Amino acid sequence: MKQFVQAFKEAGGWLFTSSSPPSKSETVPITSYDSHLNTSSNTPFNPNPELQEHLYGREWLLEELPFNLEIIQEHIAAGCVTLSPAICIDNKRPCCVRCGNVTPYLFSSYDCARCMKRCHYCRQCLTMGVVKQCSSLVTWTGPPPIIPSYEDETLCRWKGTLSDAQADASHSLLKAVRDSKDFLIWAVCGAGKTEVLFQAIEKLLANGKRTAIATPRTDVVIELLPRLQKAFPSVPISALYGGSTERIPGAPFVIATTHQLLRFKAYFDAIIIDEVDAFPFHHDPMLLYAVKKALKPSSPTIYLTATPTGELKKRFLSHRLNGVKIPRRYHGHPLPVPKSVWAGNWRKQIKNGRLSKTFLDWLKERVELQRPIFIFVPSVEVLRQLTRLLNEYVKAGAASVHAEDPERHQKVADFRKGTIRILVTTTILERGVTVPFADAAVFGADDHVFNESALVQISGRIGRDSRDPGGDIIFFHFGVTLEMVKARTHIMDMNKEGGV
Amino acid sequence: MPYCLWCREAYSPAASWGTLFSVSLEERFCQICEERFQAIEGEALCMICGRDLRLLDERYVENRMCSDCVRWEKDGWKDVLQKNRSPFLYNEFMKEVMTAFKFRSDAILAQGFKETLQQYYRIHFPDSVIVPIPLSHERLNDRGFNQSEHLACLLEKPIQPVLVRRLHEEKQSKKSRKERVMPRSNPFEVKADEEIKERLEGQSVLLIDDIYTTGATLRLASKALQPLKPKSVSALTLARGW
Repeated sequence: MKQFVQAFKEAGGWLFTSSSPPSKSETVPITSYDSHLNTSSNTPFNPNPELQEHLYGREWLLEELPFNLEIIQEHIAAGCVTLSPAICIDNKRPCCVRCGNVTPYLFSSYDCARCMKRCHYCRQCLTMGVVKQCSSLVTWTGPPPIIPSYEDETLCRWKGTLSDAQADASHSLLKAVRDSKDFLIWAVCGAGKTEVLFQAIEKLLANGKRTAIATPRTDVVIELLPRLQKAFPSVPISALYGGSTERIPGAPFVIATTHQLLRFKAYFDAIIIDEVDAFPFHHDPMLLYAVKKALKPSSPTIYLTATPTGELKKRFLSHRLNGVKIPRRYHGHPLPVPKSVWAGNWRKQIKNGRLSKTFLDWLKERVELQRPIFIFVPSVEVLRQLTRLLNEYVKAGAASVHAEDPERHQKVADFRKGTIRILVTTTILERGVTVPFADAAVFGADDHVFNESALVQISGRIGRDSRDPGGDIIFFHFGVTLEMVKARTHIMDMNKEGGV
Repeated sequence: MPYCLWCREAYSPAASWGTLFSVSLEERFCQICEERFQAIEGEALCMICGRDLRLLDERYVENRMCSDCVRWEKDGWKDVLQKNRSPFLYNEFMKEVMTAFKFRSDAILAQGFKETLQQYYRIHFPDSVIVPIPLSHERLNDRGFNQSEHLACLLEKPIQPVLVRRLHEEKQSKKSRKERVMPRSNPFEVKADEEIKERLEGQSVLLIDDIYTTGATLRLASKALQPLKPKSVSALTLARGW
């Protein structure tokens, strides 16, 4: 590292001076490529295309770069690469430039053997590699790489037709994107939100604009990728989530978890946030920071959700945010309305190895009808106990998935194929995953994790296919909660508004 | 309300006289996370390495010692390591926590073990001179801190960093048992500083490391210390394999 320091000092970079940027007399901080061109010598500098590809619109830690120091140094001297401190100290409070963390308890510090000082580090984005006060973020400030534009091609090969409501929404969205305006699509589960996006995405890509769909959940990325690949067969699409293998460098169209967006900086011309209210997105200012950072200045954000909450809903209802509502499913059938069924003290029951008769009867009846069954539970602990009991009581092949289950994606695929008949899951599968002909139960619907939006989303898993628009959704509870009532009202209101 | 070091959820600490009167709460694990660590307890521990002998087949136990330690003692390493104690088993959860602590440089996690380590020092190794296992220069630069020194500091006693690690070796976790047990030469040596050398003479020395696996690292470190004529060399390691 010492050689790094020395090298960058010589190159006029500033590496370990996070609290005090270099004075003008000793170094010239290069902020844009153009300003550099005016002052440089006559020999033109040819940027390394691989480094350009790697760094353009991105933000990496210096130690993460797979390039040797001399190359980086040359580019810094030519103004094509800029280093900046990764942690700023603002009024004695640290702030992580990579993830936007300013929460004091999510920082810590130790006597660093690298910078020989008390060195703060960010605990919020640790899983992406530690960001320390003596770390530098590297970005590209040279000429942008050329990206292909497809002007004369028909990019979207989707052959379906949009319902009237979908077509209206698609049209309004197209207009919003053209005017670079933020936009909300408030559509019931199963309204065909993804198809509504196609026209706007096609327009963006045709004009050589970089576009991303961001979603808080890996499962949604995995579900979206094949659908979009099918709709846009000639466009390279990169899917980014922890451990993904479908990464295409330089792809103009990216589907990413919001975490993965943190690696981008001023790269996209539009970002669509799918399931914007899903946990942990609306809890987590980090991911809003990520979207803002990944977008080029004054580029539009498009919000997509069935259950807008808080600020977003307020902005839309007070006309500060443009948007449309699609209250009807694409197949025109109403949303199945959940039924609440009292199941006694379910916590005590599973502890004692028992299950309520109402729950068991419903389950057996559905198993006999050969229908796949989702069972949503409030916690991993309940998940384990219930799955064990189900395999004892109802011998129908029950499996369970939760966020940290390494076989999660395989199990969901097996459930879709029908080799798993009953899938017990935490709220992790409440969105994005669609299985035709399924029924769903919420076991312990009175638990506090099941708020209105979670319950609406879970109910939205059912009746997605036009061949089976009904389906059962039952809230098994030990006392009705306000959230359960709100979810039911929400669904019935949407049905009324949709005129079905 | 304090936040758990690991899951970062706010939690209410168990009420005690300590929490009632303390002005600032120490960083700790919440109760749910704490329960995921597995303590090594009971009387049936290997006299030397502190392994829980109940987890071993009888064939591998001899005079309240595990067969690994019996082998060490016979193979010319007699009394090199007097005693090791590890408060925790290196289970899956500990592995996760150690990965974050060491490889993601989340230094503050160590705070969660402060009380336990202090207690172990008091009970098992009172008045010992504390020597942390050093890292090589290169590794220290990568990581930014020495995890053993970090753990040693938690004891809040003066520490004597008299050892240096000369060689930059392959990571322990990437070596086979044979390679770990029998390295070609001792990577540790004593710092060339006359003044600190005297501080160990006739003293009980306590080495601090994060994980006890085969015991080779600690025994090599102890060998390197022998010219300083300590009375005995023991070790306190945060966790050990079964």
